[in-house]
Parts: sequence; C-alpha cells; structure tokens
Amino acid sequence: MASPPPEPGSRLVSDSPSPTSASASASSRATASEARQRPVRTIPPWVAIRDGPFTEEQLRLLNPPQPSAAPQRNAIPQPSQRRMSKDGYSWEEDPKLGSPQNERGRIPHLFKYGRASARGRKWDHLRSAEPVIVSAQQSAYGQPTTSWADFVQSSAWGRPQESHIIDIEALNQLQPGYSRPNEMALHLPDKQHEQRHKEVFSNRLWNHFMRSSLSPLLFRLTVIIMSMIALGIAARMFDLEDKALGESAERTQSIFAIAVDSVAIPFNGYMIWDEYTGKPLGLRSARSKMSLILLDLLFIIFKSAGTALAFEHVVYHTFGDHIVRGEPAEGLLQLLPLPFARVELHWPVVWLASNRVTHCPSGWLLATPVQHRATASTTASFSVLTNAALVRLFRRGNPEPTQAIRPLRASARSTRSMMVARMGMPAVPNREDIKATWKYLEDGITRIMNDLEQGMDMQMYMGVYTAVHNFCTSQKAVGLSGPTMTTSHRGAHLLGEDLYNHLIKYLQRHLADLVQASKSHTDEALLAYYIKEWNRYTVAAKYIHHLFQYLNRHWVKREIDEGKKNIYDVYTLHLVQWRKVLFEQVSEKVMDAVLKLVEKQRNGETIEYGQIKQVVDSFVSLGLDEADPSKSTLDVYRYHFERPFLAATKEFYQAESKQFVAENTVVEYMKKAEARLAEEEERVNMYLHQDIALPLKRCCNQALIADHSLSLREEFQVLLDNDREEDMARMYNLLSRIPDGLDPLRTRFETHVRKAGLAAVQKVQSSEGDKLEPKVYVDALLEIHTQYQGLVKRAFTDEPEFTRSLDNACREFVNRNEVCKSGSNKSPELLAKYTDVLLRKSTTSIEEADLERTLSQIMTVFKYIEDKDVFQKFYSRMLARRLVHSNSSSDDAETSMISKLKEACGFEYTNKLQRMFQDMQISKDLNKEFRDHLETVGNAKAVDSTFSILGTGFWPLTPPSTHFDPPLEISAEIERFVRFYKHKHDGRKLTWLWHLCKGEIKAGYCKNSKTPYTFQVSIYQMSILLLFNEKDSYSYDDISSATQLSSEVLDQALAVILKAKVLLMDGGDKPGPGKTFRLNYDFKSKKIRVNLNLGGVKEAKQEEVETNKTIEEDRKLVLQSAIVRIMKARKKMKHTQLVSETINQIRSRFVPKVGDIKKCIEILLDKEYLERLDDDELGYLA
Amino acid sequence: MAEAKPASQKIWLVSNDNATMEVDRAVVERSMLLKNMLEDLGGADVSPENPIPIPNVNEAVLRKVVEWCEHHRNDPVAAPDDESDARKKTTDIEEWDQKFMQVDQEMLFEIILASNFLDIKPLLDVGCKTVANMIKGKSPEEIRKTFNITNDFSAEEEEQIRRENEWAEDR
Repeated sequence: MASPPPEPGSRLVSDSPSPTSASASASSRATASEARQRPVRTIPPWVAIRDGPFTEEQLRLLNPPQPSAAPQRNAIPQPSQRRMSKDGYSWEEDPKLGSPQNERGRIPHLFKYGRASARGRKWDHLRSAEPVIVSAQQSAYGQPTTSWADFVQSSAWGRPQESHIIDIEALNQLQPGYSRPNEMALHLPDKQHEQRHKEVFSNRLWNHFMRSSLSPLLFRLTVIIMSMIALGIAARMFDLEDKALGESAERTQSIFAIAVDSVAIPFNGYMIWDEYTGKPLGLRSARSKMSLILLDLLFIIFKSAGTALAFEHVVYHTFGDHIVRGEPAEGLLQLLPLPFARVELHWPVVWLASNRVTHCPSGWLLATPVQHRATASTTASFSVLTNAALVRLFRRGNPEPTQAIRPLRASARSTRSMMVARMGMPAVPNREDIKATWKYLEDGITRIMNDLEQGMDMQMYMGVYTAVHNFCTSQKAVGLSGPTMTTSHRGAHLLGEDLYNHLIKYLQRHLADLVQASKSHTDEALLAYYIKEWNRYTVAAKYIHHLFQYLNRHWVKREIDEGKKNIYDVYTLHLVQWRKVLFEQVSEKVMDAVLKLVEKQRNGETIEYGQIKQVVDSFVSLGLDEADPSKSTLDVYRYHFERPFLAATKEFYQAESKQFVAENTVVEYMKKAEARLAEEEERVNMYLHQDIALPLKRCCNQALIADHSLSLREEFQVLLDNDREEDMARMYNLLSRIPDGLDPLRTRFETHVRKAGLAAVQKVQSSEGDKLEPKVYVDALLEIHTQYQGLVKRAFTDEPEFTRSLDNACREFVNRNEVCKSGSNKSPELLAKYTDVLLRKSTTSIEEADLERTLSQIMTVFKYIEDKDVFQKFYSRMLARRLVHSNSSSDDAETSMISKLKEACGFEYTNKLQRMFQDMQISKDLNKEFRDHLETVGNAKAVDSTFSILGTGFWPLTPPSTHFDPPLEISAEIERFVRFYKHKHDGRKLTWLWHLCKGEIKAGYCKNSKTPYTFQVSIYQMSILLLFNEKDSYSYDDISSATQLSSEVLDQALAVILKAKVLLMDGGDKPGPGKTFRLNYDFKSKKIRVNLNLGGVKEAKQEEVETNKTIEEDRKLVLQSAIVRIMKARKKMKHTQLVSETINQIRSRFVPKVGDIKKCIEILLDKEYLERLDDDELGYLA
Repeated sequence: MAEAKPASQKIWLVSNDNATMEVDRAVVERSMLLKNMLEDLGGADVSPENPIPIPNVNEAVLRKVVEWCEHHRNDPVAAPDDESDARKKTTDIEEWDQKFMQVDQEMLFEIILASNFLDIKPLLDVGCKTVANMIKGKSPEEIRKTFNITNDFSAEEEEQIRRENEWAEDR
C-alpha cells in the first residue's frame, strides 16, 4: 500500500455523545452541555465570537426538535406511543400539539394537496430512486474513511473483457517477428542482479541496524574507542613534540586533544549506563533532556575544535626543519598527524550519529520514521564519503571535493521504484499528479506503439497499469472534485476523464504522424505501409486496452451506463481514432492502391492478395455500431471498400467487354464472360469479404451480360439455326444471371420451334399429297418435338419456362398446320389411325418393347392435341372393329394404351373403352356356358357358333339399315342362343348386328380340287351361297326375296363373290334385277382359304364421314351436359361467366367455340332447363 | 497466447516489500490483470530471478489473496454477462470464504483493495459482502463503532438526515 499506515490515535472513537443518544429533556441538556449548544456558526470559524453566555431561551430554540420516535434500541424495540411523522401528520390527536389535521381540514381542497395528505409522503417530490447523498459528508478525519473511499469509488465494476486464443500463424501475421528470439536483453546481466540483491541486502541490514537496541551502544563504544585511540596518539605526539620542539605553539593541539578525550571517555561511559538503565528520554523532564543533549553537543563542539586543530597541523606544518636533525622520532612525528586527524574527524561524526540514534526514535527531534531513517542514512553515508573524499584530497592532491563526491544513491527510494528505474522507465509517478502520471504513461504507450517488437517487460506493464490505477483512485483528485461532488448527482466521482482525454490527444498526435509518414508512400508501398501500421496499431491497442483496463472497468463503464455518447472502451477508442484521423485521409489512397492491384490481377498478373485481404479485414473491423459500440457493422466497409470496388469493377468490365465484343464474335465473348464471372467468384472466396459476393455478382452481370444482352439475343437465332447446343447452353447460363434475361430467348425459341414444326408438316404434306400416311405424319411431329426437347434438356437444364415454351409451340404446330387446314380434326384422326395400325394384327408386327415406346411417343403427341374427343371417337371406333374382328395384336398393348389415356385424361374418357373390353370378356364366358348347356341338353351341334354381347351404350356401333332373314341353319342356332340368353338374363333386348357377322363355309363341290375350299364370308354372302345348296342357278330377284336384303347390300355382297368367280353371272358388269347367277364348278384358287369378306374402301370412307358427323353431334351434347352441370351447381349465373366456366370444363376434351356454347344455351332455354332472369342472368330450372 | 502452456506452469510474484512467492499459473490467472499480462507478454520469461512485480500489494495481503485464488482455482469463469441479480443481491457467503474473511479490518481493506487492483471479481464480491454483512442490521452508532468512524455531523445535520430518510426506517 502506498498510503502510510494510519496512526492508531486517530482511530479513537469520539466519545462525545451523538444526538441520537440524547433523550433527556431539552432543559437538562442545555445546562449539562452548554459548550456544545452554541448556535450554529454562520461566520467562519476563525472569526472569534465573543457574545458571552447564552440565555436559556436562545439555547432552547437552538435545540433540535424533540424526536418524535423513541430512540431505537437494538435489543428491545419500543413501540412508540403515538405515531406521528415528521411532517406533522398524526393518527390521533395529541393533547399537547392539538390537532393539525383539523386545521388542515379547513383549508380549501386546492391547497390540501400541496402538503402531505398521508404519512411520510412529504418528501416524495424531492425523492429520486437514489438514496439521499448528504453534501456535508466530508470527513474531518482523513484516514479511516479514505481507505474506504478508494474502494467506494471503484466499486462499480467494468464490463468483463474477452480475450481469445489465436493460433501461432495468426499471431505471426499480426506481430511479425514475434517468434524471433528477442534481441533486447530482457534478462539483465547477472551482475546487475547481484547488485540489486546487494542493495536489498544492505537496505535490510541498515534497517535492522538502525532499529536495533544495540546500535546506540555500538556508536557509544566506537566513540569511546576512537577517543582512546585519539588520546593515545595525542599523548604520543605530545611526548614527541615535547622532545623535539620543546615549548612550541604546535603542542596546543595535542594538549587540547588529550584534555577533551580524557573527559569524553568517562562521559560516554556514563551515557551508556544512563541510556540502558535510566528512563526513556521522552519521559524525562525537559531540563534533563536538554542538559543531556547540550552536553553531547558541547563535547562535539570541543571535539570539532580539536579536529580543526589537527587538520591545521596536517596542512600547515611541513616539518621540513625537523628532518634536518635526523632523529628517528621525527619520521613518526611526520606520520602521526594524518591518522590523528582522521580519527579526530571520525569522532565527532560518530558521536553525532549516536546522538541521533539515541534520541530520535522517540520522535523528539524528527517527525516521521521515514525522515529519521533518511537523515540517519545520510549521516552515515556522509561520514563514509567524507572519509573517501579526504583520502583522495590528500593522496592525489586534488583540491575539488565536489567532483569526488558522487551523487548520493537514493536509498530513500523504495525498491519498487528502483526496479522500474532499472528498466529505463521512470518510477511510478505521484498518483495525484496528472501531468506526471501522463508523462509516465505516455512513455509507456509510445514504447508500445513504436517498439513493441522490442518486447515489453513485466515491470513496465505493471508500472503502467499501476499508474492508471493509482491515478484513478487518487485522493487528492477526489479532494479537488470535492466541491462538485456536492452538486453531482452521483455519489462517487470517478476519475479518468483526464486520462481519457490525454489518451485521445496522444492517439490523434500519433495518427497524425502516421498520416504524415504515409504521404511518402504510394500504391503498393502505401498498401504495405498501411497494413504494417494497422497491425502494429491494433496489437498496441490490445495492449493498451489491457493496461487501461482499470479505466475501462470503472470510468468508461460509468460513462456508458449513464448514456454518454462518444465514450468507448479503450480498444474501441483506438479504432474510432484510427478511423477519424488516419482513415479519413488515407482510405481513398489505400483504396486506389487496392484497386490498382486488383486491376493488375484482372489483367493476368500475379499479385499478393494477402495484402488486400488484410485491408479488407481492417476496413471491416472499423465499422462500429453507433447505437451499441460492442457490435460492429459493415457500414464503413461498405462505404469505403465495396462502393469504390464495385465502381471500379464495373468500369473495368464495361471497357473490357466493349473492346472485346468489337474485336471478337459473340460466341467468343460468351466464353470470355463466363470465364470472367467464374474468376470474380473465385476472387471473393480468395480475399474479399463474403458480404460483397452478391453486389459484385450483380455488378459483373450488369457490365458483362445485361449491357450486351441485345447482341447476345441476336446471336441466339443464329445459334438456333445452326443447332449449336453448347453455345446455347452458355448463353442460357449467362442470361439466366440477369433478371428477365431469358424471356426474349423463350419467345424466340417458341417461334423457332413452331416454324420448324410447320415446315416439317408442310414437307410431309407436299411429298405425300392427299394420301397421307398417319405414320409419316406422326413421325414428323415427333421428330421435331424430340429434337427440341433434347435441346431444352441439355442446353436449358430443363427449365420449366422453356419447357412451357416448347409445349406452346408444339401445341401450335400439332393443331394448326398445313394438314389440318381442312379441319382441325385431322390431327387426332391421323393419330388414332396410326395407333390402330400399330395395334392391329399385321404381317409387319413390331417387337413388344418397340411397341411400348411408340405408344409413349404417341401419347406425347396426344398431349398436344386440343380436340381429344375426336381422338376418342376414332379410337373407340377402331378399337371396336379390332375387338369384333378380333384382330388386335395383343391384349397387353391394348390395355397399356388405355391406361395411358386414362392417365392423361381421366376415368371418364376411357370408361367406354374399358367397358368394351369387359364385354368381350363376358361374351367369352357366355359362349362357354352356352356350349356346356348345349351338351347337357344333348343337341348335336349343326353350326359351330360364337356370340358377342355388346352393350348398346358403350360401343360406337349402329344396327344395320337393311332387313335380313338369316338362313335356316343359322336361325335355328340363333333361336337356341336367344332362348338360353333370355333364360339367363330376363328382360334384355337383343339386337342383331348382321353386318358384323361372319362365318366360314366349306365348298365340297369343286371338281379341280381334292381338298375342299374354305370361304370366309360375311353373313350376307353366306345366306346367298347357302341358297346354291338347292339348285345351281338363281335369278337376282330370287336371291333378293330369299334374303330380304336391300339391293345396295346385296349388290355389294354379290360383287365380291362374282369377282372371286365363285358364282358366275350372265352378261353385264353389275349385279342387278333380271340377272341370273350360276355356281361355278370350275372354281380355282391358289389358296385353300378364300376371303370373300372384304369391306372395301368405300365402307371405310363412309365410316370416317359418319364419325366426323357424330363428333359434331356429340360435342353439342357434351356442351349441353356441361352447362347443365354448372347451372345445377350454381343455380344462377351471368351469361359470360357461364360461357367461360364451360370452356374451362370442356377444354380438356376439345376447344369449344363460343358460338357453339351460345347455341347450346339457346337449346337448353328452349327445352326449359334454363330460364332467363334480369340483368343478363340465367337461372336453373329443376 | 499461442504456445501451449501447462496449467502447472509456475509463476513468481513479488510484493512491494520484496517478498517473492511461487504460484501456479492457473491460480495466478484468477486475476484478470495478471491473466491479460501473461497472455500479452507470453509469460515465458517469468523466473524466480525475474518475478512479476505487484506494486500495490504487500506480502501479507498478497499471500492472503493467493490463498484465496488457490482455493478457488477450479471455479468456473463467470460468463461475461452473468450480472445476474441473484448473485449481486444475496449476501450469502460460502463457508470457506467466511472463514477466509475472518481477518482484522485493516487486512479486509487491503484484500478488497488488492482484489480491485488485481481485478479478481469474485474475491472483491466476497470482500464487499463481508463488509455489507458487517453493516447489516446495525444502528448508525454501532456502524460507527464497528468502523471507527467519528461522528462529524452536527446535531442539526443529523436530524435533517434522519428526517429525510425516515421513510426507509422500519418500525
């Protein structure tokens, strides 16, 4: 502790009674302690008041008011008899005081609230959250409270500081050369250590010696011994002189010495006895004390006189004439005076010392032990030094004593200050002196700022910390700020503002110097300089932060807590100052250097990007959040680094790209741009802050892509035409980086695909003409689709928007192309036909896998078809034919196709198709049952028959238009079957579709062949041919009447038979009334099975037309049903809404025309499904 | 800092009256001041010949402080923002600390001052709580007696204070 230990005396408890304990009545107090009851002084204490005794009245008035509550005893708290507050509020009336409340009761309401209306409320308007600080609490007795004052002032605790461990690389970077061995000798050489130890030792020895009770004895004994020696020498000299010189004046000094010494020896003996047996000096009477001291002094004076004589003797008497006599005693006489003089000199000095040692500890002469010690040591060292000086004076004849006397080693200084001084730092200064403290600190800080590489030692570290601590807790400064303390709102004033301001000033100076120095650097050198200084500065800041931790913890924290702006902790303060002073001036130049470096790199040179990274880091750490200094923002970085960096980047790339485009093709440019963009991304990872990644990307995109998007898009058409997939992919990548970059591409792509599709269809159309093969057509469509879908997949990464463009284009060219010009139904029709070709049994049957794949392709085209109902119509018709004629290639393929359609269009769409399959299955079972039934009945089977029962609603088939009488053989079979079926399913009507019936006949009549021919015929042909079992020739009319066939059907059936020459006709080409038919016995054919059941082209054409016609009809029905469905749900609807809703519902099947819908609504109105309401509304009629 | 330092590394401290003592580094680092210093300077060159000077603390107090640190060497380091009210408000002191604080007032002062200087927060808390407990439940007179404070208020002043603070007295 720096403060001296307090005197015990000052700690005594004051025994004057405190007012709290005074409970006696006022009058008795006044008489008892009148002295204390003086009126309060309003005039300064040094002005004497002589007013004389005070009257009783005066004293009574001056008494403090009687306490309202009984004094608090800790042991037994006495309840007060009457509860009353100091501001006069009482719960009940007091006979002595009357009733103040009643008084107040008469006061108007307005005033009542000025005063306390409840107990203890009076002072509320003065009260704050803080407890009351009494202004006059300045203690008269410094010591006991001052120890606490230190503590009280520093009781606020600062924000804990974080530190974290970094690895060695980071450290090396921060503090270059840190790991290098330190060149400055941190360890002092051993010699110095020894010296210090010696000093410490001697100090201790000295202390011990001075305080030892034996030391006075030692001094006294020395004096006695000295006196004896002096006496001896003096006696000898007297003897010699007596012999040599006789009655000479020279002898006076030896006589004098003998006289003084012979008295001094017993006197000293007495003193020793007195000192160790008598009373302590302090307890003796003044007279005896005085006499003792004076006696001592007297002897010292006499002795001094003797000494003076001895010296005079040494200096002035050369004994030159005595030597001539050649006596042996002469030499001795020559030698003796010098030791004598020395002894004589020592004598009074030691005496003086013993005097001090003996008398002083009691505090009689000197005030403090420290001073005493200093004096004693000075005396002692003086004696040693004079001795040395004396020796030199005589040995060398050098008359200048000043030079001989070295400066005194300041043994009074504490060891601590010596330790610090040893390291080249001045001692820790006076804690109260801001100037000295600051000077000391400044040295330390400068060292840290400039020479940290040299290392720093613990002594200095501790010294600086202690100086800060001592200053912050110093007493005097508290005293200085004492007056303000009375007005201050806070209880304790924390010191530190001075230090803080000094630190700011220092930093500003330091940084200004750095700015000045930076002016001599440019470009990369400046960068290196900036980084070097920054690193040095931040490391130093960390040190200083730690050294000023005490300031941080107390003063700074207090300021911040009180909400002061612009007060930061020390580290932050460093950053703030750096930004304020250095950064403002240098940042632009540094940035220039950075940008130049980056440009170099962009131009292909290798740079050391570590520098840039460090600059970035430095910029980032300078961002301080004004609202909360402990957080950092990127504002500074954004403003000073990002902004110029982006601007430079943009400029660079704009210039570069412009030049490059002018000299190279767009394709080349795209490659370049792609490379550049990748490079910039890499750059961010390499040495920039991640925060810049997005803006930088945006900036590059703008400069490299958006600015050239026009020419890029122009190029796209060329690429499409040339099918340069890779380049298109590149372009896609580039343009996808900028907003709305791809939209124009999509439009172009769509147009291009449409054109390509239309061109392909046209080509097919022109080469094939009217006889368009469905396969060729569909393949053409597929080829275009596959090609561009591949492109979308590979170049445009299957982007949904591009896929949509592709879909749009495909839909366009599938539904509205050259082939479909005649009618929009052509596409679905051709597609259905193609499917039929694939699924029908044929000679060129394809592999199952291929078939599956082709069906999938058909489905892709199908998806684009708008008139899906047309496809359905044709498909079901063809499916029916395939099923009825059972020439479907495989059931699996059929079901797979149907499930695909179901997937695409839903259950309803394929419902009928599925039912057709079901019917075929049921019929198969039915036939089997029928056959079993026939066997059980035991009927010999005349005809091998198979029946198919087809549900009326599901099959797109119509009953024959002609009347027909089946031949006898068949009608019998039919009869049997109908009976069986009616028995099984009662109430069903069977309609015979004769035109779909077919059969086989064996012809055993032919002469030319041994094996009989088999004719495959329709049932019409069969009935005709069966007639010829009876006779060989029939007329047309006979046949007609026998079969009941209409002429058209009959003609057609006959025509085929005639053509095959099974029957022969007499004259003419065409069968008709009046003609006769004969059986041809010479029938010849290569095949044994002859197919006579040929429908012919005409039939197919007819069917097609019929289908198209039914489509229109069906569409109307579908529309009407949709409208009714909607209206049933909504009950009421506007006309336009209804139309659009209908379109929505129908669109999956075909694209309805608005006119058609309107027509359908009219029809429904007529049929009274709907009614017209007001305001163009339609209502539903149940 | 970077070099790995075993917790058992020895550190030498020297008080302002030249007493040197040997302490484990982990113990020394209870003091934020010394911790920061060792981290800043590396602390590799601390030796019996070159101890760390503690300028404001004398031997007796330093020994006492070291004793406390020794006992609390494994205490968890309080979280930076753990200024919880509970810790601040309670005057409970754990038993060992209570025994530790059974020293004369002069020493108590010195310990508090030293812990403030050395930045050992928990110790400072314990010291302050001890003093708070000394004050708690005492009348002003008793407090004066306890701390040897001379009453330098005049009767009037004292009455005034009493009146102003009447609300705080519990009856």
